[in-house]
Amino acid sequence: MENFQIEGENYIPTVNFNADTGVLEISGESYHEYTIEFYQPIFEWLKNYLSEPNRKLVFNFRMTYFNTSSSRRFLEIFDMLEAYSKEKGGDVTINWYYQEEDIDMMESGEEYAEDVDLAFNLIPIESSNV
Amino acid sequence: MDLDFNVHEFYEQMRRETVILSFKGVVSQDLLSRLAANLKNRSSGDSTMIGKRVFAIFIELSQNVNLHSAEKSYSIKEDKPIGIGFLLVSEAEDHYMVSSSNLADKKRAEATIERCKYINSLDKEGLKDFYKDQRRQPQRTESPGANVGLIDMVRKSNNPIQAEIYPYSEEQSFLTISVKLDK
Repeated sequence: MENFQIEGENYIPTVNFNADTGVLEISGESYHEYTIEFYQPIFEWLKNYLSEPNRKLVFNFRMTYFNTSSSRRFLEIFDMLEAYSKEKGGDVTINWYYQEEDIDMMESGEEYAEDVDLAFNLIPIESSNV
Repeated sequence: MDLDFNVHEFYEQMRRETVILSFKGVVSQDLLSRLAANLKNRSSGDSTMIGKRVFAIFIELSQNVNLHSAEKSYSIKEDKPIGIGFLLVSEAEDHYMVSSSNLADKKRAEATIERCKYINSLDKEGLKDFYKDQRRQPQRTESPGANVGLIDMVRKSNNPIQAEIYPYSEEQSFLTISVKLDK
């Protein structure tokens, strides 16, 4: 299966999904107004990738900002991953990175962790390393 | 515009009110992201959280205008109608104020006022629960937005959201939304 990449710019996040290593990563800022359209190819790739059972995957979120519209799309991604781990033997780990002083980003991660049943790591990083 | 409109007075008034950003026109995605980027730099002198929050609230308010303004201009580039409105950010000694104003469908504007009243009545836990509950609701078919923007702004600002309606016509009103962030 092909890897999936989006080069981030401005309000568009950088996306790197590696089908071989099972490391899926999204980073940067996401505040497209039409997130349904923007995230469509991302969902299609994921759906395809998750059609094969028993994969081991790590999903890294390294966001510095996302709007409320993107927040809905992220919840949909978590729902997909939760279903995959429950119904198809998937081994899913979420790493939610945030700048150590960014309490809003930390709380966003905590709230997703409460909303879905997935292995969820909240990982503070020093700002200089973002 | 009246020939005697005084641009300088207008500018002076904004300076007196310590306006750091004002824009009236078509609030396209590219434009709002450029304005917002300046804002983030501008705010960086304070603690990093307030800069991030002013930025976040500005994005939510401008995207409300972009999506929900009743006054629209068609963009060939984006192949979509884009909302027209007014965005204002001011900085006082102890707070920032971020505001938007646009024409809105009268019923929609009234519903927004009611929603703001409800959101303002919630405490911290109530806001969190309402936010999570609304984010779990099915996507509204008439809007690409997440329907949690107002809640998010109140959570980020720790202040009540101010929403006001000004009459315009039978079907439309002006809707002004302001969010205050304490430094």
